[in-house]
Amino acid sequence: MKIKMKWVIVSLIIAVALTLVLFLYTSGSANNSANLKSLSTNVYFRFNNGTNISLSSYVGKTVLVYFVTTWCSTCAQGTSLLAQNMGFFRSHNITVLEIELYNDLGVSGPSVDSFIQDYANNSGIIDGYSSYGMTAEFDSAGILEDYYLISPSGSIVYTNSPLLTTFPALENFIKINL
Amino acid sequence: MKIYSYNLKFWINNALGSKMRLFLFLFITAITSIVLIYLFSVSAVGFLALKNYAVYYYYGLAIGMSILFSLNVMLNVHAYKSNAKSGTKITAVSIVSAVIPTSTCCTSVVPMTLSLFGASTPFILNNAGKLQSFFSVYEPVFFIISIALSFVSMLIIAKNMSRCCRI
Repeated sequence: MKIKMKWVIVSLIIAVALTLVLFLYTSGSANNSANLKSLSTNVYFRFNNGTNISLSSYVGKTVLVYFVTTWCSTCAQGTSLLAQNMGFFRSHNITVLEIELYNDLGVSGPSVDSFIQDYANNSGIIDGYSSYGMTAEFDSAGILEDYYLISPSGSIVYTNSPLLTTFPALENFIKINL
Repeated sequence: MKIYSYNLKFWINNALGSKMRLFLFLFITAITSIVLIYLFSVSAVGFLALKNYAVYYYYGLAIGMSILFSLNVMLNVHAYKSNAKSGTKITAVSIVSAVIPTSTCCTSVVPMTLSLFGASTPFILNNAGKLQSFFSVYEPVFFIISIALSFVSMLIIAKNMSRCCRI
């Protein structure tokens, strides 16, 4: 009888721990006080043609910035999901940027350009490569993918991760607020 | 194949030999399948290589693994009731090796662990990806290990049952 109780308790603990992990994994936060206007000059990204561009140049537009590593499967499916919903973003005048995190977080993956061609061909997503400063500013935790919704005033109004599981929440936020 | 030398099929039939046991087996299989399908879908298992076909891959994988895990559980319970040595440790390792790649790659588990140990931002940005990519690249290997261990575990239980319990 003691052994049976032990197994029931162990099973319950595992079930609770698993539920907690899944909850934390799918929830995420929507708070960030940064503003594009106050970003330092080392926070920029590079287009495939070598041109560097600061995020602050997007002030005046609503922008969704999706940071990815190009060797991660959830990033690939997230990219595919973005492509499928480009009509929704266009209807809300949202520019979508997909930025490869600095040096692909230390692992060599395909270029973000070929990544987009593979998973979101001709979708209208603008792609680029993050500077170290930009990755340190927006992904200091080293998470493989996260995204930021930035208002025309330059303030971050919504952030979450991963896109694959939090997309309905993002969609809902946009429908209500934009 | 040594599978039949320990008469695995006989012991499986024996472990599922009543309506109650069969119902329990199906129940565990269903619950495990749901959990694995959820874990595999949120971690986009197989999407990099298979794109939209990945869903067939991870559904098949999840259901196959669930059947194996449930058989292991039923055999372990049967061995325990028959006072034979069970194979719970190998079963546990096989379950863990199925879950490890889905929970470590593409989630915040590794970065959070590094932060907890006080790693600096440059260290995290240069190394968190390397650790996670290992689990991403070798994900199929972890699944193969998990399936192989499930079979080994069942064989060990069948062997132990054959030695201790004559029916």
